[in-house]
Amino acid sequence: MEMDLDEVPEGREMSDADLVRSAREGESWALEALYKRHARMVNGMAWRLMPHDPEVEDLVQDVFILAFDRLSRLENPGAFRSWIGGITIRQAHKKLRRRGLRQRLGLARSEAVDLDRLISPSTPPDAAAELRAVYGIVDQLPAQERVALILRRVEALPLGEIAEQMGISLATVKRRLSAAETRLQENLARVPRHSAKGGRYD
Amino acid sequence: MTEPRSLAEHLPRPMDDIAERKQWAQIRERRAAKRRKRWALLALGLAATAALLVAIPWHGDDALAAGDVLAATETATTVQLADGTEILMEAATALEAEAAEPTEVRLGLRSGRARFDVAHDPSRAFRVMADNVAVRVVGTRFWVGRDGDAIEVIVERGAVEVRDPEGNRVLHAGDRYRSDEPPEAPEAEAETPETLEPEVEAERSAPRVPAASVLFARAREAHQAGNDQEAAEQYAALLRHHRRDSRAGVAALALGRLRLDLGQPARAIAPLRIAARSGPNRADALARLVEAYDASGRSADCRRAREQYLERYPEGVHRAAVVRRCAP
Repeated sequence: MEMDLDEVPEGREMSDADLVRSAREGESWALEALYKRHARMVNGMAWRLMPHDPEVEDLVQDVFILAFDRLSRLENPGAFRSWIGGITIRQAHKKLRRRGLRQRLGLARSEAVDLDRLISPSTPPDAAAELRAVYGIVDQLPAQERVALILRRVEALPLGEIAEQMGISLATVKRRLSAAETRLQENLARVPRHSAKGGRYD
Repeated sequence: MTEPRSLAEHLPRPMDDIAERKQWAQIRERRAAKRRKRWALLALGLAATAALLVAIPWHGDDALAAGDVLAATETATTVQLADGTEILMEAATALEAEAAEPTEVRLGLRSGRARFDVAHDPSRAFRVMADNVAVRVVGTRFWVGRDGDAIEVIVERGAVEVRDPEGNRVLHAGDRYRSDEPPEAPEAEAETPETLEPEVEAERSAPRVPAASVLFARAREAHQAGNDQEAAEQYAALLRHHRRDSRAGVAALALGRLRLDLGQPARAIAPLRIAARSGPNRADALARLVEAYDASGRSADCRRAREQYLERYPEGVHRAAVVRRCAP
């Protein structure tokens, strides 16, 4: 007999905490649901920390594997989003630091990124100019400054959250940002205030 | 100092549904490979040290954690947990910790045979899983082993509850269970030790309705075996009998997908509506609902669902597929 599924009452949406609890009980569908819910955020953040980098795909996979392996350590299951965001940031920082070392040893080269191909076509000119200015200097910055600058200028995270997610003190974040901002301002001064691609940066 | 504006939306990672599925498949495969490797290394380590007694604390770096594998390769090995629980593993036995929480320890028997002498702790559930057989214990001593394809449980002291796809039963000291043998009294209502939780009581009070976990497992097994019709029936039964179970939203989406795959778009609508309202993957469900309405010729409903999807998930991975749907 065909059941009338319309009679099934509407349930509440499963929260991240529900999914984490189910995943801890060994329910593999809950892991998939957590992935699907947060894949876009993690992919986006990884991409912006390392734009058009061949290592981004590995980074995102590493982040989810690490998070799922350590799920039992997550004290507040409802904070899964922020927790996995922190893992993304720290893993990206690790990769960037290693790459910086390889570059200093002459084992790797820095590849220039054509940001105009990556910026969304609907981006207002001033926002595009700001993105160009930020990404125009990040390759010259030490890994920690680079990450802090992108989290502040692109992700617009509050300073306290940047410190928490990067696992460093607020004072260190401020020092790193101050150094990065100095270079950014120099770079912004070189960006035409009214260019065909860019526009005004205030 | 003014707060900067977010520029994140202007630099999105180009991802579509296919890329996302591929990424998830790779994550799953890499996790599985990692577990296989970890298992092999640990088994090798135990063989090399021929450990006879291994003590595992609850806290600290050496604490038992989900994913840990306890293995005895060439020598019988006793593992002692911090609460006094002792696990005697015969040679060629491997157990994997599926959960290691203060409120629950769940060990999966991957090979061999082991005796569990479990310390009484009413605040912590202790379970041993072997294939689709679950043994739940409060404080007792019992064996769980594999014999060919069968799972065998022998209780030496106290009582355990054994749950398999046929239902639940309670074994006392001296009782034996084999997964390939019919129960001695198949229709008799299982007895209930006072120590079992109310949840278990509730499930037993309706013995003809399998537990949600059983229906879910049956559906997945049927799907993996390529029997989509059977899988759809099991998911439908889960929704019918366990409407408020945490798996209901996932079951509804799976049922909707299966019915679409089976060429039954009109029958896919109801479960997809549930999944779009309350499942964990609402975007997926809503995109499939658009597809189901479209294939059923319900153009007005299709357009409404399409607008809803585009409004809720303007950058959703199904956007390109959804905008192409619905007759004008």
